Amino acid sequence: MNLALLNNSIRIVLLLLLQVIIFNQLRLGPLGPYYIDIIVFPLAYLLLPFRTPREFQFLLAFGMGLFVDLAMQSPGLHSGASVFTMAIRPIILRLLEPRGGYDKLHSPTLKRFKLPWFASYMSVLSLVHILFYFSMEVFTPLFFGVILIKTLLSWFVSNLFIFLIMIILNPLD
Amino acid sequence: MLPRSKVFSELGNLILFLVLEGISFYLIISYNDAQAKIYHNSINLISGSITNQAADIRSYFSLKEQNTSLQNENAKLKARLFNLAEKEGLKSEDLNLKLQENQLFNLVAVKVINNSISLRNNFLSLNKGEKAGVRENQGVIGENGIIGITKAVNENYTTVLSIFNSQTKISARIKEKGYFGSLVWKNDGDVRYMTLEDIPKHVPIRLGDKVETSGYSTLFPGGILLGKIVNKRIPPGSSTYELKVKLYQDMTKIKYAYVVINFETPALDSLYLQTKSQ
Repeated sequence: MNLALLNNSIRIVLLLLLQVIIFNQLRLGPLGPYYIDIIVFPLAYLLLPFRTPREFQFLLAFGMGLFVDLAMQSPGLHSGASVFTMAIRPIILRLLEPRGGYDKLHSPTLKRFKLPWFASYMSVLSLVHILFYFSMEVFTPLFFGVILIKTLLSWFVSNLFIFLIMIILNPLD
Repeated sequence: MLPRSKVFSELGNLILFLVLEGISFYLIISYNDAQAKIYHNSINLISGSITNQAADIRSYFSLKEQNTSLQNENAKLKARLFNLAEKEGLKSEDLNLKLQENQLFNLVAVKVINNSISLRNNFLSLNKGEKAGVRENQGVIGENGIIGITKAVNENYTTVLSIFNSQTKISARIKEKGYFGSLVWKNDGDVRYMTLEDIPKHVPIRLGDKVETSGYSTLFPGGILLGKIVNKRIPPGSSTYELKVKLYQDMTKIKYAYVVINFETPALDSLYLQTKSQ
């Protein structure tokens, strides 16, 4: 239990620093207005153990989002997206629930659930986060096409990095 | 096991979620310029269409009032018609006939759909256009005076140069004295008053004298009451009065108006051109 707490704390700090110091500087823009943002920090709140109290999940997600927002000077965008994604998480967990159900003490990691499960879990929820983020960034449904293109490009690249990080660290909880 | 069936296992979680999203949304529209602009524009759009519809609905509530006012006007006109018939010694049916034969003016009833009074040059919009016989340069009158002159006409709508416009100049005279001058608006932002100019200073003017249209232009029939004189002064070095006229027509409240169609305008115009070219 203490191990999970330590793991998560380190993970949160590490991912936030990684996001702010490295990935936020890499705004890839080979396609003109359709630039790519690499967003990896959702991994930090998506790996929280199942037993984490719901209020705490929301507050943590909000705090992490706000931290990245302040560094990116985009107040509200990532915090809103993080809280929203956190709200969606139980739905996805329910859809992906294995036959025996979840062990309350576990976290949704790659090592616990193997690749197919983890890939679906992570790709869907990161898509939710990024879609919400770009919707709020463009802020008008008139440019739905732009939102969609930016989302899909960033989603693809972000997930490459998310899985890379996950494979390198490969934590149990 | 997880609380499986609910996204928000407790009400508290839902409230927390909404509060956090609310804070995020507030941050977005407060600290991001582009998003703030879009947000305020959207709010304007929504509230604009709501105001429009509200105005539409409100107009139903004043229907009774409008009806009464139209009825009163009708009664006044009828009384005038009867008086005229009496004066001419005719029966009212004969008078109708005679009026049709010698018709000089016709009125087109219109609704005012837009009205500005706060600008330096004000305009109105009417809900009828060429289809109803409205043309450029025709007078527009209201219940208690004149409103303006038609400026641009398309098939279904008309733009009117308001009397509160620096380009508008109305030929007006002092009732029962017959001296005439031009009624103009001094751009001073007060829409209750206009100024009557070009009346020679030897004319005896009393405060309270009534001002009416002169009938010297083809735009308006003569004798439409416009207002009364509330102040007179002679500017230094001038040989004419500057008379302040309080209007009877409240331009801030007009809803209905009439466009004056003068059947003699084309003939008079061609005559005028002929004289001018000689």
